[in-house]
This record gives sequence, structure tokens and C-alpha cells, in this order.
Amino acid sequence: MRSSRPGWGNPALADGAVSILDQPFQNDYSQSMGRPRQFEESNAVDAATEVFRHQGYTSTSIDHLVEATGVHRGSLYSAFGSKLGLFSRALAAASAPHADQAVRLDMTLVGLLELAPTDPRAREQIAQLIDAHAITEEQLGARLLARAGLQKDRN
Amino acid sequence: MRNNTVIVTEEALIVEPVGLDKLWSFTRRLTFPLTHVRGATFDPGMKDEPKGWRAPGLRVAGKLSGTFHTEGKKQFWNISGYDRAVVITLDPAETFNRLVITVADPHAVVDLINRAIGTHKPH
Repeated sequence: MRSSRPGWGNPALADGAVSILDQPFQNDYSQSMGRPRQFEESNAVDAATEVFRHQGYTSTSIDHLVEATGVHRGSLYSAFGSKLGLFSRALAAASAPHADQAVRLDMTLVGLLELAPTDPRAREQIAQLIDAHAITEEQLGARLLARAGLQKDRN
Repeated sequence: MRNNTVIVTEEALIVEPVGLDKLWSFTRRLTFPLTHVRGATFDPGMKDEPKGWRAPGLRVAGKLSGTFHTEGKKQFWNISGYDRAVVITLDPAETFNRLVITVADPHAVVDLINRAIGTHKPH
């Protein structure tokens, strides 16, 4: 094999020794573009959901999300694109069949109040969530009062 | 203080450094198809982010202008201070994976961009 590389001036090696010239010119990291993603997106989405449902959308800064998820800012941007992108993922997670109903209603309320009036994509996503889970006005109202400690949560 | 003008057309996002910032950043105008724009976020916390190494461009005190390199990718920065910083994330097909710019009204710019890509791309 060494002889198939003329011009490298590969010196004679002791028996059993391997020249670095025979190694592939790569390491494990060069197999994938950039650094490997070092966090579970679903964990980050869960942590972000907790921040959004308690703090709302506008009041939540990227600093809050970095702290809550334990994920570096650059990685958050790479994975989700924007705060809106992360909120959209949190809404999608809240729409999953196994998601907690209180979390689902909280995320719906936050989205309805802060994003749906101005953002067409968020509005459509929330409309689909409401449809998919047949969320009623009563459920939303009851959850709103329960959150405020004004009425028993019947969900 | 305004360092950049942001224009959104039906098909594209255009970022134009204002005045002398064109010179410091070595950039007259950046144009991206909306399909390559992933989202915009108001993010004053970029202050504490590592900026990476700069080339070409300018970096003095709270002013960054030009191309910076971190995470094995390039970012375009054109900011003075951080209280009006907007982060725009781009598709991997673009030279830059991120733009960090200061604009006169960050909330309006963020809404403008996110709404444009929301209506442009059926999600």
C-alpha cells in the first residue's frame, strides 16, 4: 500500500509499525458537518415549554431559555431558528396525544393572547391544536381562572 | 441608533448597513431569498456570547462590523451596543448561518421578518 503512494518519501518502517500516511486523512468529527448536537431537542422543548407557559412569550428572553434548557445560545439558534421557532415546537409538543392537558391549555392560552392576533402561522397552528383536541371555550376559560387561583380546575 | 436598514420584499430579505457601516463591514447590501430565512429574534443577550474571530471587519468596544467565525460557521455582525440587537438565522445553504444586527425598532423588524416567512412558506 505504501508503495502505491510514490512521491511521499515514506521511510522504511519497522515491521508491524503503521505509517500515519496510511491512515485516512480524517478523524471521527470530519464525518459529520460541524459539531455533533450535544443535547436532546425534546428535553430542550420541554424545558422551554415550562418557561413559556409560566412567563408568556414576549417576556421570555433567549437568556431565560438558555438557562432553562441548559443549551448554548448558538445551538438553540441552530436547532430552532428563533424564539418563535422554539415556541412553535413547544406548541407542537403540547398538541401531541400524550401531552398533559393543563400544559396544552396553558400553551394555547399564551399563543392566543400573544401571537395569534398578529402572526398568521402561529394562528393557524393554534387553530389546528384547538381543532385536534376539541378544546372548548369553557375549557380555556376554566383554565384561565384556575391558573389565577380563582376557580377549581376541572380538567 | 440605526445601523442597518431591513427590507422585506415578496421573495427576499434585504439587509443594508447604513452609512459608514458599509465600509467597516465591507458590505453594501445582503440579499437572501425568504426560503433561506429561518427566523428572527430580538436578543440583547448576544452581548455575552463569544463572537469568534473577525475577518474582514471592525471591532471596537461595543461596535462589531463584518464577518465573524464561530462554531465552524460564518456570522455577519453589524451592531453598536446590544439593546436593539436582532438575530436572524439562515439556511445552511447560505454563507452566513446567522446575522446579528442593530435596527431602529427591533420588535417591528422581528415581526416583519417572521410574518413574511410565515406567509411565504406554508408550514
